[in-house]
Amino acid sequence: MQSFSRKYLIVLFFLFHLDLSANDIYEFKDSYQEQRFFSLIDEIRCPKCTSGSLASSDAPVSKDLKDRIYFMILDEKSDQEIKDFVIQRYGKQSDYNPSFSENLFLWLMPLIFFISFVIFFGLKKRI
Amino acid sequence: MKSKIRYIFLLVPISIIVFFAYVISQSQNEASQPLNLELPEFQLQTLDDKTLSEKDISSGTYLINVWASWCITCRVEHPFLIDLKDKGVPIIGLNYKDNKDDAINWLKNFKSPYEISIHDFYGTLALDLGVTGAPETYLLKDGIIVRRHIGELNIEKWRQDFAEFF
Repeated sequence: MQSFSRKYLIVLFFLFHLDLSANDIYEFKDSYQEQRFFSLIDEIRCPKCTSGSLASSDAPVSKDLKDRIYFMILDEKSDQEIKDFVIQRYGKQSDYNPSFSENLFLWLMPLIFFISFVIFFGLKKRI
Repeated sequence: MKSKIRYIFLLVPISIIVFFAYVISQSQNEASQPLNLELPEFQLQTLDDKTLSEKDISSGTYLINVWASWCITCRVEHPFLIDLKDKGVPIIGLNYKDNKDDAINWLKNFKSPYEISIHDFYGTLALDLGVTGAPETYLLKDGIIVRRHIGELNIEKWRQDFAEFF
């Protein structure tokens, strides 16, 4: 019985060991590349998930996309080139950090709402 | 009069909300998306051991159907693809992350709707196309991907998005 639980523990040890090493397979030339990689996979949405970044996803397509981003970084592609690659294939919704100028109306919407309500309730008081 | 004017300012945010609710509901119903993506460069083996590259299919109109023997919805979609094949629609299979023998057996058992089936074991071409899983169907027109449909292709989706090209 004791030997069984020891074997069980050894199996568990290797399972967790493999899991830890799985997160560490990307090797970069320098820490700047590594930083770019992790910020990109945090900013790009997993194409298969309802909500969640590539970093948070274990879906096969997310794994492939992370690998592709990794190789594009090694290949000296810029962040914008990498994002363009993803957006062209998986749509604008893939970018969790959309540009301000392209979405000006959305960014200004809270202000429009606020001004509308201020005028609405302001006029009510005066009447 | 003033009381009427103030309602215009209430109407502004309400109409914005209604507009966005409509846009979001439409985009969720719309599984097919128009695209304008050049067919990426590739060189892969087909299931019958020929080599295929983007140059071989750069002219003409084709459907590219992403499938796998492990994909249950592909089995549901299969009779419709056979119908299309019988009507003369050229379909290229993109066998996605599949065991080659399983894929060949699947085609033997259920009849192949494909002119040729590319074996994309690592999903490299699939990633270049923007595939998220199987089944998915792409419309290739003279080397440009112009349509994508995620999920099962059926008669409704076919009429709505693809039929006009054939």
